[in-house]
Amino acid sequence: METRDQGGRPTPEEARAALETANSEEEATRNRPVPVWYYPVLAVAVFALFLLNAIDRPEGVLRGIAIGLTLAIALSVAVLVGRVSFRQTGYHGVRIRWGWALGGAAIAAVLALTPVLLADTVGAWIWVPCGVVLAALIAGSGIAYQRRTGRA
Amino acid sequence: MPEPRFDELIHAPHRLRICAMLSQAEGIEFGEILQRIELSKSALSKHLAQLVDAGYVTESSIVRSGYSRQLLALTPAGRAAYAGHRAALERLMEEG
Repeated sequence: METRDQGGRPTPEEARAALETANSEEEATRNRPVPVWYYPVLAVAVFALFLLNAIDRPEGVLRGIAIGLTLAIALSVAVLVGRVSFRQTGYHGVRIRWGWALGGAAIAAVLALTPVLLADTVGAWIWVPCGVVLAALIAGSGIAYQRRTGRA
Repeated sequence: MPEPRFDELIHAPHRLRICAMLSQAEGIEFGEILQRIELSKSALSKHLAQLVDAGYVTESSIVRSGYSRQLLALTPAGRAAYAGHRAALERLMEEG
């Protein structure tokens, strides 16, 4: 194909192959590999956060432990997401697909707000199914992402 | 939709890959491109020089983690040329 450098239009098949190459390179820039453990750890941490909230009105020492663990896990999640998302790499100003990013954030927000709004009415157990769904979505997204970036 | 415009310079496989990867970022360091494209340093430099000479790519020096690095970026002309070339390839494909 390098001989095309010297002139001549590609055939439709060559054009298709060139476009596929271009698409694949574009995607490889947009979706940089993340550590294999990232999504599973995130899913477990988020599920643990929801589970801690499912403890109905803890009192005394248990209350202190629950608050301490919640803060520690929330802080760890923030640090983890920050380090993986904003770590310095050789890529600068990579385009973000805001539709996907905002869609994911909206789903996470709905799953986090649902138990906040319903726990007093239906009971603290509502945190558990919401946590399971959110953790499963994070883990599923991770598997899909690893497959797309060739790190499955 | 950009106007289809076949670009011989961009169409060479390695330069097409370079333009495609640069099109999705504000800039990519030389080392990262080298790692992905699997060419020798001199061969990659040659391709980049052609793109720079055409006004499609700019080179600048940045410091990251205490080391000086070469940052490559598509210029507005380079982005337009790449988009036009993609559109030309799509048209060629549809004609087939």
